Amino acid sequence: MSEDSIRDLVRWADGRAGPPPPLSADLAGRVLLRRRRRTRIRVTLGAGLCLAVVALGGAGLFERSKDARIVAEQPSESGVPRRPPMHPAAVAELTRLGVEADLHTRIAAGMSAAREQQLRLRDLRHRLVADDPYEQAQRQVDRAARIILCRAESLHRDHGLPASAVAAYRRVVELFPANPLAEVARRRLSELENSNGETL
Amino acid sequence: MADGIPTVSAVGPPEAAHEERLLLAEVAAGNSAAWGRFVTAHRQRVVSLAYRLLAWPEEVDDVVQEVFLSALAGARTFRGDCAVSTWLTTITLNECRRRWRRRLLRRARLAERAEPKSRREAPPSDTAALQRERFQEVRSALRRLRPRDREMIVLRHLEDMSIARISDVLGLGRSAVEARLSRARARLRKLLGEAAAE
Repeated sequence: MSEDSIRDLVRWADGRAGPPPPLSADLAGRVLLRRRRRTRIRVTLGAGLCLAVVALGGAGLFERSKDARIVAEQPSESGVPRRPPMHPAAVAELTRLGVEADLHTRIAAGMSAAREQQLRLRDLRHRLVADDPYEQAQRQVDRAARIILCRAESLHRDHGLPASAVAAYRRVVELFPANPLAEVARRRLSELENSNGETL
Repeated sequence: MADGIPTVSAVGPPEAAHEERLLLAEVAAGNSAAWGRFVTAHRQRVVSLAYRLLAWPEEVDDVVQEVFLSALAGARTFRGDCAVSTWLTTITLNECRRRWRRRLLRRARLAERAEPKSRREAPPSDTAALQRERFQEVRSALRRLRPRDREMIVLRHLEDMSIARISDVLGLGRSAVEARLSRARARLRKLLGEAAAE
């Protein structure tokens, strides 16, 4: 079987397989949703892990003090059970770990809630911006500035025409002086003029 | 080329490449409208590539979501060394490899073992049945190929990519790509030969 026949066969099979199955609607939205869900799971797992570590630490301390407690609970010579001697350092450590675990849980929950709120706010802000005619016009202006800037970069980098690039950068500066891209154009102009000062 | 399925080989003019980079920068800055535009611009090519790399499965929804999720996560770290479409192609390749390793390969092998005998008992009688069987043979051979070999076949013969572009996408040298491609063809030829002999 020759190389061509393999290529033809694979292409034939690709044609026969037909177009890819359709995707469900709003792919972009579903990807964002998936990311949010993953973030939430990660935060929850992190908090769970913290708790588990703290619980294991506590259990270790408890085990260590158990033997001492068994000995202590045996009746003394007078017949009265001894008071279980809990080392003050162990008590303090357990209390500290408990407080720390609570704190971690609260921080994790707070972070998760704040992150969700932030994402919701960002979505709302973008939705608001999308409906505002002024913002729409502003976006058109941005787009025009960006296109000229891209053209200038392309003239310079891809086609090696610094003089035309300088003209295009100047055009951005003149037409859109208040636009942030004008600042980029100014920077590029000064770079170009510095490097090729004598020729331009 | 398969009817109606776009390929990833077109990079477009330099202006388009700059536009893509700026769009990705907006995505990295958290602009959800830009994200929507980015997904719309690239979804068809990603879907098509994933569909071919996974050897024409029933659904590609999940893998496509994962590809875009990785793109979203990596948008901030995109250094601009290559075109956005090349970067996205690499992400798709990686995701398909991961997917293949995890699930499809195991499932395909089980299906291969269970499938042949019962199907071959009744020989196909008409052209349509023969074609169906031939298609199954090609698909099965492609699925039995190692992911790296399959990628070579798909990128070169189905996506019509040049050797230079494949080496860009895979981060390999030109001669390494040629050697791999030749090996992939030989393996596919062998698998197809085995299928025909059975």
